[in-house]
Amino acid sequence: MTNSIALQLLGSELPSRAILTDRSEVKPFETDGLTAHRQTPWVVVLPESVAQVRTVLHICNECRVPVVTRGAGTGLSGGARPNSDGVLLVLTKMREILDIDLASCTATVEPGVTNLAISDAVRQHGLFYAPDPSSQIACSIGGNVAENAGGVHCLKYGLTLHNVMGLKVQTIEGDELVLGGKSYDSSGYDYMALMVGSEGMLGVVTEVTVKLLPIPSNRSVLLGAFDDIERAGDCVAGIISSGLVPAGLEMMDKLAIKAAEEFANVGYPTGAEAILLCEIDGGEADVKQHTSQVERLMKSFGALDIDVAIDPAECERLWRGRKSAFPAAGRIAPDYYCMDGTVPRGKIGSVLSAIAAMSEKYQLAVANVFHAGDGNLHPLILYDAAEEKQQQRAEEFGAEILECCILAGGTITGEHGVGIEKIDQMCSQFSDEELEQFHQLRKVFDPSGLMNPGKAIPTLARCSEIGGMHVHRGKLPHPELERF
Amino acid sequence: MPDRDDSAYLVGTIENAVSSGEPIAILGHGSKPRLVESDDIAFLCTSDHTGIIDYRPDELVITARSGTSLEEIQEVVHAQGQMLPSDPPMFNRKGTVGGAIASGLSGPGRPWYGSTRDSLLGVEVVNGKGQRLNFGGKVIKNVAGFDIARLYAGSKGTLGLILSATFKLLPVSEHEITVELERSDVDAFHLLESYSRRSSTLAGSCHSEQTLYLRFAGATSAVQQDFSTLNGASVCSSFSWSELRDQNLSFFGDSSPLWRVSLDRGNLYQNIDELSVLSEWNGSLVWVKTPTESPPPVSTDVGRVEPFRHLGVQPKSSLKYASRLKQAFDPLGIFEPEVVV
Repeated sequence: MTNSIALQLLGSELPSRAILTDRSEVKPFETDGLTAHRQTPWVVVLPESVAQVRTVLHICNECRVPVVTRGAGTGLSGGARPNSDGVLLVLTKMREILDIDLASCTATVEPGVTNLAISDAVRQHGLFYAPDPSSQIACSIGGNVAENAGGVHCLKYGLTLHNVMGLKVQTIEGDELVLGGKSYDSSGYDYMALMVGSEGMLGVVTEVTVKLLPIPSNRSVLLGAFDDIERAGDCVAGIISSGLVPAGLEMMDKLAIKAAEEFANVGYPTGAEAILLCEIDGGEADVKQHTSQVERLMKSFGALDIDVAIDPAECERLWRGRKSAFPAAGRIAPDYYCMDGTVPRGKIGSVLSAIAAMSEKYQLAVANVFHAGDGNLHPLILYDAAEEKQQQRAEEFGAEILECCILAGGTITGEHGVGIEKIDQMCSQFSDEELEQFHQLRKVFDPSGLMNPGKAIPTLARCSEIGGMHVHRGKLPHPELERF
Repeated sequence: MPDRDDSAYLVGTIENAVSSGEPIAILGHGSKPRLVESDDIAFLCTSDHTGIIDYRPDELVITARSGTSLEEIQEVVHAQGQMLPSDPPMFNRKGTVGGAIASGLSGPGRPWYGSTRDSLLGVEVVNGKGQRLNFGGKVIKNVAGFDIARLYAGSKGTLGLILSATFKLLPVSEHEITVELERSDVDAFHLLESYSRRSSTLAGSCHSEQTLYLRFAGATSAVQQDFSTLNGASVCSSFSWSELRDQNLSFFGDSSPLWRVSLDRGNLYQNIDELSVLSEWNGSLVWVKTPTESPPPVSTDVGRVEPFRHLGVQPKSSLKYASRLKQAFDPLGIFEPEVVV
């Protein structure tokens, strides 16, 4: 009933082109990048201005209609899966670059601007926006903020949270929060830290001011081939503890190398058990010095073959294989499931061994690509959804990888977010009190729980239903009870 | 300082406060300006809760108890060729890990190395219900749940007590030099601006009374290259970035009211050039001394003015979300009741 009133109000306040209700029109919005989970939205609204966003939020608040905000829909954890009786607020029409300020080296943009469009717009000034998730051609900056997106260059340049200077956020109660700006670190609670990575549950980001950095004048990429994956892992630790900060440090295992080479044909050593890709950037003098330092380190850790690229086209060639790892996995299996856990760098070797054992257990192959410098793993579980129970097995396999990451002292998600995909593992990573604190925090900005309900933070009831037992710091709750 | 786990006492005291309703104020070394000056509040001191819990140089990560002195942390990580990137102030050579987080302050390298909040990876805290909670973790990439760990940065003890914290570290640069140049405000501004749009090893700036000090840090060859292209610069061995960080320079020596002004870099010194100023952070952080307790005239579209020292009343946030946030973490008002930041 309230939904029909809400629809009437939306219709009277917004231009008709901004509202989609026909099944054929709303169908394309039923999923984000986690395509295995679909839900047809009740209504899709595509606002063209901040005023329209505020109108939508006002109506939804008055009529108690849930709101799921999304950008380009490239998210991989189902965070933007629509609600069957809610509004899907799609911000892709708000794609104006509002200001490029060369004095402060910042760009202020609307949320629907794509990640790459920012760098494209400022390249002529010798500047770029550093975080570069692999979906950067398509993904929007608003979504990057909601997910605290990463990428291959986080090791040196940080995550979205380190590169956002200011935000304007609309709350469901009708307030506009103006957070940060072009200057650093004002006093007061750090609302920006809360908004970045909040998965659309605290407010709607309508303006983003990002930090721009000078494009490094020089760059090199080294590819080291190893006949032992543990040795490649040791080399990662060796590079990090040598005092170097590479712009990127990536690792691929044998199956990933083979798939990428078949797909991109870039000359990867398909006989190797693992490769490391290390990018160095900066001024001419330091790139030269650091490149030879990495080359020496790779040799000392037993690299069989080292390819050093300085020429931009050659650098591009070496990266191309890594960047096509996901579509390449899509070619060697009908379906793949991309996981996203982080572990301390020193645990990479043991976690990889555990994943190999799980691969046997679940009888599903896995190709490993990861941001080794950050300890961020992306195992790609290969399966065939047409085969009975393979999808379920793939999801169970993925869940076990995440549990393994927690036990290794890491986390269930490094950069893809919790969404709906990893909501059950939140029960393992956090105690009831911690989850309750998340809920209390959420109520600060959204007392009625209308913003992206059912995502990211599980209810305590859900946790007890799935029967996950939270083992906190190795201590079982109620150790006096016998357990079988 | 010996390692000591005082968490049972700290948690117990908070639990008692929860039962009795008697508020408490958290204190580390007492090196920083207090939020409120009140005689009616009991202090809970973290300075006996000390020690590095976990330090793995090859992970570039350190975990320490909140009462651990910043000086100890710096010594231990420097021995491994590493540093706390945000280089938090140690006023009077004092200051704790917990105080650095709670104050949210960062040192002179902030625009290049990030803030204290930026390098904070995780915390263990006790909230206003007496619950021990862990947020964040020990890994660089972590987006599970809201980023409550970083909320504690700059929260000034109003949301709970920090028991321990984990920071990301950075390697110390191979080579570092400080150079000195005579530059007017305008010339200093143009020089700094030119650096922001090209790769360089610039890692610190300080300008006061026509003198500009620049720090270059990086590979030896790159630092030398940056120095050789700078006209009229001479290497300076007398300027200390840690003295700037800790406000021991003569500029900070008197008892005039001191204001912290965050400026958009494009607006360097507008309206305040007749006052006594010292700028750092590439010109975006300006310390201003005023003859009276009236704030310097900086309009809100240019920058933000905050009182720092020798000033009576601290501002309170009027934002309703600040009160609610306080309520969400400290519903009984155990930690500095009535204060939101």
